[in-house]
Amino acid sequence: MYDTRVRGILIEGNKSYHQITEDISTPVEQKPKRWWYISMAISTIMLLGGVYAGYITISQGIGTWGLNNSVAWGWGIINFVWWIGIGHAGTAFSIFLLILRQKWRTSINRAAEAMTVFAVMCAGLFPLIHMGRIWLAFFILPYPNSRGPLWVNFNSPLFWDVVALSTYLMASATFWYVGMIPDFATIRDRAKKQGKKIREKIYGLLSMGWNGSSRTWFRYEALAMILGGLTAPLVISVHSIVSMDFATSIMPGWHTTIFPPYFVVGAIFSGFAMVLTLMIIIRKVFKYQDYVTVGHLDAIGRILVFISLIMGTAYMTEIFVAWYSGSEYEYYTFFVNRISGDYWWAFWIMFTANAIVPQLFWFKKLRKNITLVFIISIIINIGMWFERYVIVVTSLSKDYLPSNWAEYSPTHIEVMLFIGSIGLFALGVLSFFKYVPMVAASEVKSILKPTSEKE
Amino acid sequence: MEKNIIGVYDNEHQVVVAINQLKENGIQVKDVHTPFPVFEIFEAMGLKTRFPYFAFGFGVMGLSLTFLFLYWSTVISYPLVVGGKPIFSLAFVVIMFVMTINITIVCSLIAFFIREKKGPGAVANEPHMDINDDKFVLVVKKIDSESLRVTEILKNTGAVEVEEIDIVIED
Repeated sequence: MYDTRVRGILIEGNKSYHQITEDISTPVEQKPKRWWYISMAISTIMLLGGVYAGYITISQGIGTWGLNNSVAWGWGIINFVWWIGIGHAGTAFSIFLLILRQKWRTSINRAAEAMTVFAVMCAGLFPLIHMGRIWLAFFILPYPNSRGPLWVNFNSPLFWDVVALSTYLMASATFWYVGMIPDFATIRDRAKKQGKKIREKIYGLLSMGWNGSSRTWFRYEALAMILGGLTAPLVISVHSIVSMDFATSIMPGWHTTIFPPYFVVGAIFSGFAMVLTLMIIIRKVFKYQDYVTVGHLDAIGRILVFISLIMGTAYMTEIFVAWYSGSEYEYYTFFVNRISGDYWWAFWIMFTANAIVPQLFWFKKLRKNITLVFIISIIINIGMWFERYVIVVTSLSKDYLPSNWAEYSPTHIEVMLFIGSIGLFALGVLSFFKYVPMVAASEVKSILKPTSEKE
Repeated sequence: MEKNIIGVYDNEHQVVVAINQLKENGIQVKDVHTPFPVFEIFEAMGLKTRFPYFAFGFGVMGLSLTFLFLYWSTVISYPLVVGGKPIFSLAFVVIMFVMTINITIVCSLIAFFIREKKGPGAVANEPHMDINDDKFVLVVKKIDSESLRVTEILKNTGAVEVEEIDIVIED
C-alpha cells in the first residue's frame, strides 16, 4: 500500500489521465525551440571533431595517440570504461526498481534507459577504434573461417567483454523500445486526430499495431518481467567482465579480487549521477517538475550517498590490503605511485569527488537545493572518469621493471575522440528529447491514483 | 465483421465492476482496452499466460546451444592450448551465462510479437480513439437476445458512451 502522507506525492499537480497524455506528448508534437537547434549544432560540431580524430587514427595508426610500450592503454580504455559505467544506470534504475516494485521509477526510467543505450554505443566505439585496423573488427566474432577454422579464445576476458557488451546493448535497447510501444501508440492516435499524416505513419510503424487490449497488456507485463529479470544479472555481469580485463592481468593495482564488485558499484554510481544530471535538465527545460519532483531527486541523492560510502570503502580496502598483504609492488603502487607519486592529483580528485563530496547528500537541506545537486552530479561524473584514469595510467606507467617506466599524456587526437563521443551522446539525447515521449506516460498513469493527492 | 457493443468508461474501477456484473449474467466479455495495465481487470477477466514457462524453455535451449558450440569449437574443432591451461577448463561459463540471457531475450521478444500478431506495419484494431489516452473500453460481442441487458449493465455501471460498432477482436 502506498500512503502519500507517509511516502510523499509522486505525481504533483492533480493530473488527470488526459493531462498526462498532453504534457508528455506535446514536446514530440511541437516544433523544437531555438536552444534545441543550437545544442544540436554544437553537438554535431563536437561529433565532427571526433570523426576527424577517428579518421586520423585509422588512416595513420595508433601512433597518433600518446601511448607507448608501457602505457599501452590510455584515454581510449578510460573513456570506454567510463561510458559503460554511465550506461549502467538506465538498466539499474529500470530493472532493479521494477523488480523491487518502486513506483517512483516510472517518471525517470525512460530517460535513464535512453541514456544507457547512447552511452553504451559511445563505449563500443573506443575498443573498435583502438583495434587500429577497424576494417578487421569482424575477426573478434566466432565465425567459421578459412584459418583452420581458428576460433577466438573463448577463455579470454577480452572476448567475454565483446559478448557481454553487445548483449547488454541489445538487451537495454530492447527493454527501452518495448517500453515505448504504448506511448508511440498514443502519439499515433493523437496524430490521427490532428490530421498529421506523416507523423501518424511513422509512429504507426513504431507502435507495431498496439491497441491497448488487456490481453496484450497482460502478456506485455509478463514480457517486461522476463526482460527485467534477465537483464538484472546482466548489469552485474557486464561490468564484472570489464573489470576482469584488468583483474586477470598481473599488473600491481589491477590484480585484485575486489575488482568486480568495485567496478559494478562504481558503474552504478556514475550512471546514477548522470541520470541526476539529465533529469535536472529535463525537468527544468520541459517543465516536468510535476513528474520529476524534488522527492524523486531526493531519492536519487540518498542512493548516491549510500553508493558513495561503498566507493569509499572500496578505496580504503584496496589501500589497506596493499599494505596488509605485504606485497611490496602493491604497496608501491598504492602508497607511492597513487597517493603521493606523479599522479597524486588524479588520485585525490578521484577520492574527493567520489567518496567525500557526495557525503553532502546526508543533509536534507542540501538534497533539496537543485543547483547544488546538479553541481555534485557533475563532480561525480568527473570523479568517476578520474577513477578510471588512476586505475589505467598509474598501474601501467610504473610496472615491475623500472627501465620500463614511462610517462603518459594524451595527444589532441585522443582528446578530440573523447569530445566526439560526448557529441555523439548529446546528439542521441537531444534526438530523444524531440522524437520520443520522455516520460513513460502509460506507466505514470498506472501509478497515478494511489500516489497522487487525489482520492 | 462482427457486431460488438462497447462501453466507454472514464474510470478503471467501474470497468472491473462491469466485468463482474456481466459475468454474473453469463455474458462473455471479449476484451477490455485500456491506456495502461490494470491488474484488477486481468484478474476479473481471468487471464492466464504460459509465457514465463516458454521463457524458461528458451533459456534452457540457449544454455545448451551455447555450451555445445563452445565445447565443439574449443575441444573438438580446433583444440588450442593457451598458457598451458586445460583445453576444457569451463572458463567459458561466462559466455554461457551471457548468451543464455541473450538468446532468451531475443526468443521471448519474437514469441511476444508472433503471439500478439504485432509488428511494424500491423494495423491497430482499436474500438475507440481514446484508449491510448484516458478511456477504458469494454467490448462485448453483440447477441440480439442479450443486447438490451448488456447495454443496461454498461450504462448502470457508469459507462459514458455505449455504442455498437463493427470490429474484429481476437479472443
